[in-house]
Amino acid sequence: MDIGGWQSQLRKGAAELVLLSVLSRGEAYGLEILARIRAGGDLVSEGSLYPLLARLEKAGRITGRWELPVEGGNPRKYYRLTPEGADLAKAMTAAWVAFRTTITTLVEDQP
Amino acid sequence: MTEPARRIADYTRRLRWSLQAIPAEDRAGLVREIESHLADSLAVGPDSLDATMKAMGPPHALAARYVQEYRLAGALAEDRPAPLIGAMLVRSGRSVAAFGAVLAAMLLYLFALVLAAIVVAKPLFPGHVGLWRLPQQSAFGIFTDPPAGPEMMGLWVLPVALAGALACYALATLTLRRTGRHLLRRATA
Repeated sequence: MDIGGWQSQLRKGAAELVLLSVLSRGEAYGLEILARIRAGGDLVSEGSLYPLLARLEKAGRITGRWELPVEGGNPRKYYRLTPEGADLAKAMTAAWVAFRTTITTLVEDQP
Repeated sequence: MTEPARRIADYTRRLRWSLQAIPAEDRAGLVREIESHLADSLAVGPDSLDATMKAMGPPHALAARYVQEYRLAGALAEDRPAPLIGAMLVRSGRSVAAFGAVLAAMLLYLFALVLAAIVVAKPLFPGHVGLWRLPQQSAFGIFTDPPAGPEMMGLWVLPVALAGALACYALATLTLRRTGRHLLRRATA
């Protein structure tokens, strides 16, 4: 059985929820978002983060603005949730909690 | 230019080139963001830059992810057939569903086009457009040399062909949108 492929599918399914949850804690730019995600586990890579951000921005779930860091350096694009994105994050979180409860009951609580 | 800085410039140049499908104003922002991320990684150290480039994958692979997700999401918002077909064709090499949906939609758009042509041609060439019942088989459409015998539909061909054209168009677009959403859900990250 290809457990790696299955895990990859799990990660893909969770990436959008994780990203929206991370941004619900406040505005952040790419590297910060990755750091916040990695603090909890290695779910999203650089190669998947930026295309996902682009799609969510295009879909109106998040919005971005450019800012030059006061300490100097490269311009950074800061993202935050739009009201629609915040609503989606809440709905997805509720769906996730229900899903987790079901899976826990079915898979882990077996006698 | 130092060696790592040249690598970053090379990566972003290739990425920009591979993102041709995306509008120029958006493309510049996407590339600038990746460039900024790479420069921040380099500031940490050369090893960090190596790890980041490895995680991003080759520029053409990163561009492909952008183009697929972005075009599909953008096309779905616009609901116009051309961007939808374009977005699906990108995927049709890898997905049987996308290939089948594009094929079915193309056929339906073709039917819609033929039926629309009938609507346009009937008032102009009434004797050449319509439905003829012949002993061997029936004939429906536009004919330079119409079959002998009475035409069956008369002006009724106009509403029937128009309704058929609209139905084929709607069904084709629906097929693309449904399959597009399905694929988008499968390839979120």
